[in-house]
Amino acid sequence: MRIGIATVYTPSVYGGAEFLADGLANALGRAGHRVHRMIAPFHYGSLDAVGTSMAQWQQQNFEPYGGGLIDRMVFLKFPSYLANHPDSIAWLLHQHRPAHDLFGTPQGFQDDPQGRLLRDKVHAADRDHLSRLSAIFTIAGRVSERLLASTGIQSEPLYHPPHAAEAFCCEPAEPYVLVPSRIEHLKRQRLLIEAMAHVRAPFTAVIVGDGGDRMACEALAEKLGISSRIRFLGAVSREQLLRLYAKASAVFFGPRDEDYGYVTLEAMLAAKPVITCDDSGGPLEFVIDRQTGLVASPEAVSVAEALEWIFADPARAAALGKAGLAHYREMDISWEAVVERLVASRPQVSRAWRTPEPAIGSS
Amino acid sequence: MTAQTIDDVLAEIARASAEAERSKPAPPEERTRTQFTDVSYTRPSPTSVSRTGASVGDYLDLSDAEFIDLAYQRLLGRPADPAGKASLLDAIRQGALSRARALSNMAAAPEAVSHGQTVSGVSSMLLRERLCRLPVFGRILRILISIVSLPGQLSAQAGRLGRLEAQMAQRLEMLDKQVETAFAGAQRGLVDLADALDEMRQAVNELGDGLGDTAEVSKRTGARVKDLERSLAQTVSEFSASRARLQSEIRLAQQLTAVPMSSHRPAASTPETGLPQAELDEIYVAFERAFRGEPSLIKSRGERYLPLMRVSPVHSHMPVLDVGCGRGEWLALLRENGLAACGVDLNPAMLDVARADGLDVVEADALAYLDERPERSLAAVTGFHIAEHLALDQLVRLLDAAYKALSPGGVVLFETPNPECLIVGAYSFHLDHSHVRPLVPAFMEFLTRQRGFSDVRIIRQPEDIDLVRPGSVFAPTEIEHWFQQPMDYAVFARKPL
Repeated sequence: MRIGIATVYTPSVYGGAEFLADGLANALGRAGHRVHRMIAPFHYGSLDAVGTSMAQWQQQNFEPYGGGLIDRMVFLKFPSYLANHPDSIAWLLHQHRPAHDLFGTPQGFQDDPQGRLLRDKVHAADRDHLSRLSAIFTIAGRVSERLLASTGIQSEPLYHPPHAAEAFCCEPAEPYVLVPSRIEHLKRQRLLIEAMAHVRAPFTAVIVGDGGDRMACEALAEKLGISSRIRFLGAVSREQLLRLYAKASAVFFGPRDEDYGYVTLEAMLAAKPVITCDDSGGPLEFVIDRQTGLVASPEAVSVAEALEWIFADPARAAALGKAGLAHYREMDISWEAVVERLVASRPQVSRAWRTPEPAIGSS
Repeated sequence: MTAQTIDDVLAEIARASAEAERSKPAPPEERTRTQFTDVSYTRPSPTSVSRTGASVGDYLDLSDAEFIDLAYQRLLGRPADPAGKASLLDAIRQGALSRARALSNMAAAPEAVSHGQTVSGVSSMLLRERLCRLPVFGRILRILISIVSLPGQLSAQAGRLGRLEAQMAQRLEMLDKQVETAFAGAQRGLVDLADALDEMRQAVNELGDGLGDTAEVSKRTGARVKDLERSLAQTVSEFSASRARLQSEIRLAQQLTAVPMSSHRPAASTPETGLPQAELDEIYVAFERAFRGEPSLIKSRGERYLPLMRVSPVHSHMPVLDVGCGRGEWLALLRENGLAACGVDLNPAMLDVARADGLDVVEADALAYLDERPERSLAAVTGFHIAEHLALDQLVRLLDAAYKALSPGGVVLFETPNPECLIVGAYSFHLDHSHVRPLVPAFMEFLTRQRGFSDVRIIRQPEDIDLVRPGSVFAPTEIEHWFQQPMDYAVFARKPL
């Protein structure tokens, strides 16, 4: 098949979304399909820019493309799915959150007449265009839940593996809990630091990554008098990150309402138990409490208890990690599975064609 | 455990990671981004394009759905019904049905039979598909198919070549005129000189008349005569120098027109037009003068092949033989890089240029020369843009003669236009009338291997020089790929040890 992948990007950012689009294009190519990428810049900054981008995508018709016809379009992000093609499906990373769950918050459109007008426009476009698609997938159950809540549209979560999943490995654990992700308010490294103040067991927290909240986190550790039990490594190389995973006793990943979260999957691939929180979103789709990790409530004492429980019995912690890896394998998370699902999904038009009339020409 | 030990653990992890990274080079990350401006391309719908669906070629570059629509239109004379289209789409996408098979099945359906339209080429394509799937034979067949499909294209160029010949003749005429003008100029110069001599003689006579008037006058006159003598001598020497230059140019032109370019001899004379071979040769010489590349350009193109010429220490005392060496640009490059090199060519005028540069060249037929060389005496045999001038039997003989003359482990390198680039295959290759036929890389690879060479490598890109890494492959999937190939390629191969 000739398949088009359409999405938008924020100029100068290469993050999870770009990784996902590249991964999908490569996987489709490996499966023998011709892939065309349609990418346009998208600016979150101004309301005008959002409206302009919507209008641009709405004008696109990707059926004729590059000297031939495209058989199927896969749309990844708002507003790419406003473009036209008779066989379109979506694999949504997320909706345009400023107009949905982030509306009226500092990260969303402002709750003023102009903001409300654009919000309604985005909602209408979502309802109209998403319901026209032949199939809607999302990258995680949490994204599907939000989509259902905001538009009443059903979708199917379709998981994909993190980057270079085969590179993760497990080595004998050293006494530290790994905290790998960008240091942001929403990732809640602060919660972990506060929890460390309650912990008695002799282990260290190794916080990897950089970000806007790092200074505040370091100051907090200082203030709580636990700097000696926390290490801030900053950004590390891929090689180093793999080794840090391999030797960790456990991984803490307790963000607030994450979409998907590669960290959970990476920890499972390294056969390490994951400590997360009951409002963390994506991780909860993978972590089974007391079987592959621990689900705490988002409070310092609860997280501290979870950490104590893990470090009280290293053999049990290792067993949990192994169970996590086994669980990952059971879920069949692979690019091959993603491609199969995206390509096999029958367009609704085609279902309508399935009349009893005998097919001509196919033997 | 104390804080000291966790720092040891982290330090060890950092150290081991850094070491692992040093030992594996990171591949460069390549990403391209398409903007809206790139995606606005549209084309007419397939029904308005001149695809009648009468022959199987019309169907090959369509999307699955377009393919089905066109097949229905042609074979059944009606648009595809949704059910039939859906089931066909399924079968094709799952790989259960090839397009040729689908066409053949549709043509056999009763509805199609009554419609009475056929698609030519389907059965042969089906047969080809089946044969190509056979092991070993299939591979050879695939190569043969690509060879066989070439000559048809060649004959289509005859008309254009006729026009080219006329242009060549015109150019030759222009050259003649230029030579004539130069002669006329020289004659005028001689007349002027004679006039000047007359004037001087007159002046001397006048002086003689007035001689004896006064010593001072005589002295002044003497100085004047000396001045005139100096200026006369200067004029004469300038004239003779320019005459020598002109003569040597004329000689070169005469040599070029008189000698057939045997190494580049036009393959077929044209008995139907009755043009004598000598006249064709003249056209060819004029053509070469008009179209051959700058020496510096030719030389810079050769540079990429230099690493391949350092065959082995054992071969360092053996020369590289360049067949059809011409003016010796490649030989000079080899010499500059400390490699022993000699050349053979049939064109004495070209060889004069090479000799003037101090290069070791021989005027001889390449095949005869190779045959006479002691066996196993060469490190390499090279040939730039000669293979396409040879008929198949000559090409085979060249490879065999090179094989014999090469030392075991020695190499051959033949560069030739690359018909994988459609501009070359369909157009520029045919600029030169003496080209026999384009040599498809797959064929050259096959032929060199078939004549006993090993380590055969097609060099399209500079990266292909690195024999340790896998070579480039040509696998076009889009029309534009046929226009993005390099204009020349080389086949490189080794005589087994």
